[in-house]
This record gives sequence, structure tokens and C-alpha cells, in this order.
Amino acid sequence: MAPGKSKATSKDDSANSKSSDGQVLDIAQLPIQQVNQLAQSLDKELDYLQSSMQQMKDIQSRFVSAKDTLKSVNTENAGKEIMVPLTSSLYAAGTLAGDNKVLIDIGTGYYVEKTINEASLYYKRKIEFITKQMDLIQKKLVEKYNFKQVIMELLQSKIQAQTSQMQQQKAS
Amino acid sequence: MASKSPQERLQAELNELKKVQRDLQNATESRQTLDAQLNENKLVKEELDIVKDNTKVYKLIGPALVQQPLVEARQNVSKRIEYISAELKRKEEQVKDLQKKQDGCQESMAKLKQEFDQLPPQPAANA
Repeated sequence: MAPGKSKATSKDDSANSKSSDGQVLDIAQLPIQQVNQLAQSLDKELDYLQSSMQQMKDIQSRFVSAKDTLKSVNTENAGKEIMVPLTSSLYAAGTLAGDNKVLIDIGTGYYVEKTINEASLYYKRKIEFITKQMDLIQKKLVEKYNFKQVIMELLQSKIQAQTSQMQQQKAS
Repeated sequence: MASKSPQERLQAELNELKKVQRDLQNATESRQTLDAQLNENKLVKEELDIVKDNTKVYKLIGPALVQQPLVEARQNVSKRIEYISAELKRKEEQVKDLQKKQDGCQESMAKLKQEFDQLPPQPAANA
């Protein structure tokens, strides 16, 4: 095993001298362990991005449903009776005031009073914002995924090279 | 060679590395939380800045909504952004330090490993 290892490190040294002008070449020259580490950290990043994406989707659908709900509390429906949920299983009868005003949770415990029209614009803005962020994340996801693919192929070929080297050593 | 056996030194180095990695993970996590908080506060600030001056603003305190003057709300959020930014900077430095430490640990680990590999093969350790 030892001669194989020392060979790998000497290869690494020659890569280091080259790395000053081109980093792209570097990855192929890395020892298996470091390639493996790289693959693992990429996996983590991918996981993180994917869960962010899921969160974004949830939030987006919440905004969309809030925006849809606004349509039913318009002034035309003023005075109509509704059942107000006090908890998830307890409702009380109420009437729509129809004063054209709603309170919006804008985050960190702050609520702002808005007209229904303003509220609708607010949600539109938020949905656009989230969609933009999702696009960004999607792009990153694809990028990282492709990179990971490259790394995995590299890792595979490196492992193959090492096993065949070891077999040769055994044979000799 | 030192009084400690290579195995022991390797073990000690491994423990140190694990500890640093744990610290690093904690620091990274709290940095992420701060980052999220900062972002949320920035969004709130943005929203408070564009609403009309006579807009009613409420703050959720426990289970109750308490009305708060818009000016005050803006000030509060700005102050919080300042505070969180400072905290975030501090955490980022901590993360950087820990990363350096981790790199150092990994380097000395690699050295020890090389030493270890070059030792003449010993009879099975668990004999």
C-alpha cells in the first residue's frame, strides 16, 4: 500500500505547482480522499438547496392561497355571515364588516393594516419575489448537480485505477 | 519517536478534529439562523418603509396585537438589523477561525497518517 500512497502524493505535488495558473485541472489531480470529501460536501449543499426549494414552494402556495382568500372578503360580501375559526376545530358565527381593511403579517411579529387592494398587491409582490428566489435556487441546484455528476465519475475512475493498481501489485 | 505511540497520537488528533468540527457546525448553524433573521428583518423594514405614513401598525406581543406608531416600528426594526448584522459579523469571524483550525487539524492528521503508514507492519494490534 505504501508505494501507492507515495505515488499519489508526488502526483499531488506536481498538481500544486500547476494550480497557480489553472484551478480546473486541479480536481482531476486530487487524491481519492479529497475527491470523496468534495462529493460529500456537495451532497450536503444539494440537500440544503433542495430543502430550501421545498420551503419556498410552501411559502409560495401560502401567499397564493392568502391572495385568493382576499377575493372573498371584498366589500360586496359585507354583512354576510361567516364562521370564524377560533381554533382549528372551534368556530364562532360572525359577520363580515366589509370595511375593506385587512391586517397582514409582514414578519417578525409586525402586522400592517392594508386595504384589500393594497393587500392583494402586497401578495403579488411577495409571490414575485419568491418566484425569483426559486429561479435562483433552481439554477444553483442544476449547477451543483452537474458538478456532482462530474465528481462522481472522477471518483469512480480513480477507484478503478487504484484497485487495478493494487491487483498489479499483488500479482508481482 | 515520542513517548506516545503513533496510535495514541492519531487518536488524540482525531478527537481534536472531531471537537473542532462540532464547534464549526454549531457556529455555522447559528450563523445561518442569524442570516435568516437578518433577511426577515430586512423584508419587514422594506415593507414598513413603503407604506403610507398614516398606516396602522401592530406588534404581536405574546398573544395580543398592540398598536405601535409607524415611526417607532421603523426605528425598532432598524435597530434590530444593526444588532443582528453585528452579531452576524462576529459569528462569521468565529466560523473562519474554526475553519482554519479544522484545516490545521486535518493537515497534522494527514502527516500522522503518513508516519503511521510508513511504520513496519506490526503483528495484529488486538492479539
